[in-house]
Amino acid sequence: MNKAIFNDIYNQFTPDRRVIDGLFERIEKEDRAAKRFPYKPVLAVASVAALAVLSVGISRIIPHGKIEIEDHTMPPFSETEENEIIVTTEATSEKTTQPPEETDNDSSNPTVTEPIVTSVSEEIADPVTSVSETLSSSEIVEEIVTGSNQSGSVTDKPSETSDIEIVTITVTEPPVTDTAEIITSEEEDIPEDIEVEIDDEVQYEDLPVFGTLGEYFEYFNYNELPKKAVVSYNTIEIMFSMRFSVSNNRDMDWELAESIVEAVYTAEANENALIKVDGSVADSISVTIGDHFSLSVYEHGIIKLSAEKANYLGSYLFVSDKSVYETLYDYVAEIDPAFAAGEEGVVAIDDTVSTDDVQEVPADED
Amino acid sequence: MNTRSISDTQSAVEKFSKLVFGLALSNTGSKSDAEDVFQETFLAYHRCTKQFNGEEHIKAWLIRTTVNMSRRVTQSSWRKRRADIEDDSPDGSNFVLQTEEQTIVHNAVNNLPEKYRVPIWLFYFVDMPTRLIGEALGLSDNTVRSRLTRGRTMLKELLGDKEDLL
Repeated sequence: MNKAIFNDIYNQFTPDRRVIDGLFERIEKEDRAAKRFPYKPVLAVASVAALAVLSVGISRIIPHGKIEIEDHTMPPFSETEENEIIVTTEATSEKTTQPPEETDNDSSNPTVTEPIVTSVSEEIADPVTSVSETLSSSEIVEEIVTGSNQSGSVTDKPSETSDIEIVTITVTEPPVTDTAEIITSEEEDIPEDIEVEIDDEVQYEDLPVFGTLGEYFEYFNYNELPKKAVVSYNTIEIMFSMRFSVSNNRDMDWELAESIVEAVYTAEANENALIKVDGSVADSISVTIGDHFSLSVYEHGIIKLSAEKANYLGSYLFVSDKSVYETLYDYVAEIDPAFAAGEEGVVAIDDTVSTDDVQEVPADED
Repeated sequence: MNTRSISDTQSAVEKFSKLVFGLALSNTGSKSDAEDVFQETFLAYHRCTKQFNGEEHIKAWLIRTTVNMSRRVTQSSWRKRRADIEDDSPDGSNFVLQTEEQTIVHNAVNNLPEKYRVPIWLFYFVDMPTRLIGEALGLSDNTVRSRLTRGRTMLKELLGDKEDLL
């Protein structure tokens, strides 16, 4: 290669002076603003939390219809009267409000077709605000098994060395009625499971919202843990952090990992190719997305996906798209020539298992 | 709000302005977008209170941030709808290089898929060793080498009969 031409080009990559001047004007402006009011981040967090609570409360109190205050000439309160304001709402259409779903798993309805993670990212613009729930990998496996309510055998659990911290945002909706009463009381109706946690370790300003999981993984310096970010994937906003237990010798293709997740989203069991993987490798990266998917990408391309929707948990990977499988094959062949040569490899089609051995994916309820 | 000192940020801008601006230009294909990315990246650096372990660490952080900021810009709906005006540059970026040969090579690199473009860019323009490229992009040394090999092949295909420029 003629490095001189690259060097000549590189020396011309000088931004205009006005760009640099503009940068420092912005910096000075921000610094001045911060000095005037140093509590802005705290206030922002508090405001966002308050807005979130209020928005949940208001949306429940006024689901439909309009508000009418019954008596505009309400006499002033006397000491003997109860300090109570009654507001009624009238539904403008047929009653459509459904009773709240049970929060516990309903055994008669084992298929969860919507992600359990409730996105509040639009209301909570500042990702410092989060609700956290930390599960160990074994708990996650347990959740997936319980959630899927399937009898498929669990042949291989994720490595115990993979520490995963999941941050999910959940909002428990209180019961909704067409006629609501707002009772002034010292006891505020705040959902108990909303917590605000401030993680000082993470500089959220550094973290863009990623469009794909691949971007998320590529962004981070794997040696600095834990990290948090918001991943917007298939309209599901997932806020999570994860702890990596990987060695420095990583050889992973995150585009492939992403494409596999994509494939599972559209999985149809009868058309799946089955790829046997060896889940015994200790060093791994595991991602749990909501309560639905657990993707483990081991070194050298060994991939294990546990997915409720794929209806199988174990050492077999479902790939609904042949092209994804071919990509996987090519990828592994590239990094493991022995596999391409037909010798012992880490990934192979397992002829001993057929799709008949796997339960069908239950049809979506909707 | 805790931020880095201005002198610290100034020092980083002096050392890495070409790196950040050039990489942003390559990834966004637009001078105005690259200028935005340049400012946002160094603003993020200024706000960031992370302690860096030397210049290589800063460099790696800036590379990652520039790449991600560029993605954010290129994926924004505003940009997709916008039409650049007053664009006289041969590659549509509003950035004009000194010679035609340089423009041809620069365009060819910019037309590589990002997966190959960024390692190629860092290797040839910045002269970074593969190990440091790997650290900056979160890739193993072998993966970087593999992408460089493929990227070079693709670059030659893109250049066609101008391959001898390389």
